[in-house]
Amino acid sequence: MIALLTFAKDQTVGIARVLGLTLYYIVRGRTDRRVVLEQMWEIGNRSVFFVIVTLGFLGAILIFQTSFQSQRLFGDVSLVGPASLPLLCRQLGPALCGLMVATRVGTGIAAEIGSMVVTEQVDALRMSNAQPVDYLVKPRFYASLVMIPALSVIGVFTAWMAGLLVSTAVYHTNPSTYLNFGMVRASDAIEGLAKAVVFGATIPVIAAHSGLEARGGSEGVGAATTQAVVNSSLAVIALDFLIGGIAFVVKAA
Amino acid sequence: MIRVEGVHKSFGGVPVLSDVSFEVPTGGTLALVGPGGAGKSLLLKLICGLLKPDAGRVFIDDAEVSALGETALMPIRGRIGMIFQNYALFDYMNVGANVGFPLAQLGTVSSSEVRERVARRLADVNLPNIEHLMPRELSGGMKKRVCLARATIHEPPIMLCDDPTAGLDPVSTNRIFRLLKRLQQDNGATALIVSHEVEYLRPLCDQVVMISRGRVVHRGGWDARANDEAAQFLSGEGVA
Amino acid sequence: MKALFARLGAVFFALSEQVGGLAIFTGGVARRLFPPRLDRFETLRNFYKVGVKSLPIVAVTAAFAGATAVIQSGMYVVKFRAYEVVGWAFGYAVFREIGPLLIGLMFSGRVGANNTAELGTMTVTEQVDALRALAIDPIAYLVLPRVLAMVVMMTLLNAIGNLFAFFGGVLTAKYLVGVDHWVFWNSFIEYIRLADFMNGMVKATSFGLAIGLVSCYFGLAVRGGATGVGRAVNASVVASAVGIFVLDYFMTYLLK
Repeated sequence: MIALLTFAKDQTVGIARVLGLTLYYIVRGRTDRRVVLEQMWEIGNRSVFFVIVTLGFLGAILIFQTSFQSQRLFGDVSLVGPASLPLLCRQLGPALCGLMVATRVGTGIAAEIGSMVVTEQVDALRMSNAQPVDYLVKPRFYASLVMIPALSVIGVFTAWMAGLLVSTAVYHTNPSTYLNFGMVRASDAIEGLAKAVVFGATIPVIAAHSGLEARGGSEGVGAATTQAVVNSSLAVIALDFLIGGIAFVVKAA
Repeated sequence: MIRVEGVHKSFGGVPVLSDVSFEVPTGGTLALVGPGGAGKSLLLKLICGLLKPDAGRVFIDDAEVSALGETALMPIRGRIGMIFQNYALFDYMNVGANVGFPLAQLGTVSSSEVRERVARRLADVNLPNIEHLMPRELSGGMKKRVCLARATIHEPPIMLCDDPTAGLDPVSTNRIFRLLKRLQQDNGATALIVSHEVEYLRPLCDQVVMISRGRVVHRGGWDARANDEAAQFLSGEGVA
Repeated sequence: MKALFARLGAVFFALSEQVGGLAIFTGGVARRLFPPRLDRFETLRNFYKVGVKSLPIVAVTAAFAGATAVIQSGMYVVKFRAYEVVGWAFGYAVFREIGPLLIGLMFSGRVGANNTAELGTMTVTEQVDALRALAIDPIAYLVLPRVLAMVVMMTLLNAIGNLFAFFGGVLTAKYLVGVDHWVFWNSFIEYIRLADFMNGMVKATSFGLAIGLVSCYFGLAVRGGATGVGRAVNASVVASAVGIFVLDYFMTYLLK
């Protein structure tokens, strides 16, 4: 138990250090725009398919479950579509999208940086006066700060459309009753976007931290990659709770 | 000049280097030998400031490397050429970008001049016109030579070589050592070479330091005393 | 246009190759179940590693999942003053859906990724070939215990996770939404049936099986050193996540 807490503390301190350095180099260093664009392609475009598939299924599941309950309780499913959209925007969309990106992009970043560490490429960078955080972490930070909110928007849209398919095909609702944005408030969209931006800032930093900590051959790279998924998924779940809680308190007040 | 004074380093409570001291004068060449796992690679990383010693001091010329931060180390590293044991070529860049990287990173050399100097350096290591290839397309010996080209592209006055011929066949080994010697003599560079190839090191280096189990067991010329671990090793019998 | 089709085709073939490889692998694992010959030490070691070592992370995840479910339903609850349904909304969402889903994704990250990394390292360092040379079948010796451990432990962890989710939910309901724990408990016990709980358990078992098969398959298919291991872990968690969502969809459809 104590070992576990010490480990959690070390990880947090290490992540905070990488975050601090990233912010330092954002203020100080130069940025190669081409590298950022490459990373945006890697993090954003190459995750689109994955996000569409997973969030599509998520939307279908959500509409299934809520329609099933709604039918049992009220004998009617016409409100399911419009009533699910706020929940998707506010919580399920960004959170699940964040988890998916933590899985795909987080492991990718940790694997890439981790194998550069164990093959001494990071040492070679430092010998050429390119600081690893400046050179490797910063472009990924910029890229995911832009691309993760974009992916979340795509994810929410896909989920809702997949829900439409289930709703019309299985529960025979009229698409025009389903496609109703009336119940979404600005606050829902803001909460969702805020979450996506925060995930965009944390996932690359956490994953890069795990990669930079990699030690010793292929075993070390594997361990770093695992560490990256666990840490970044946990961060997504905890931050989702935290931001959701803050939003709840703000709205209630 | 490279000076190491009473350096200690341990990992997880296990001492890897204890009380290591030696000096390489400017323009001098030093061979660092010893059995595997003796801490030779670690020592090189301490010298260029990639790691910090637990105790003791490391100097390059007048600067105390062991006490400087990353930013202060920058100008010093710009004067070092380092050859890594496992090539450490950037696997997402082609050969040209790899070799030119230290120059491009300075930000003071125009890109056309970088290209020109890369081409010249690659010709020096007998690998002309391979700028477009990726590291994974090269053989082990070619990678080592590209690594050599990258380490010397900025004509460093100090060269650190970590087992430059590890895992190479005898022909490639011979070629690498000839190249090393030429590059060192062209620049009059101070060189520190870690290797097991005692017979190649002997004509190349004017001093030898042998480390065993984290301690210096021999320091000075090649004529170690008889009945000594060092004597056995340096005569080539202890290599296996 | 032609280039686009060529690329789509390449993606399609790559995907088919993975799916086909996974199917053949699954067949190979299934065939070795008759008769089952398990290495007892390897099996126990994996039960410990998979179950005990991922317990903390699952407990934390589940507690957050329960808390988040209460916050999200709390928005409606406060709006309609329907305090007596919080327990039901929580139980239904978490036990049937969010619990198994999030625990599954976390399990895939913690255990699945670790497993791919371990088997991948064994593959690139030729340890798997060494087993073959000793006439030991890697699938029976390495894969079977791992898959078994993941199926059993994922199911058990889901049950334990539900408990932690319940604590997370009760605490959040009490201190953030302002619903007394007895009100929460009553509506929970009133509306949530054993079927809801079992529904989630069946899902969890199927996720465990999917994660086990996928992570072992990608681990043994690693090529090319340290970089290869990293890439394999990446591919493994991505495939597991897709598998979890697809399975979840069909289970939801079949078990409603």
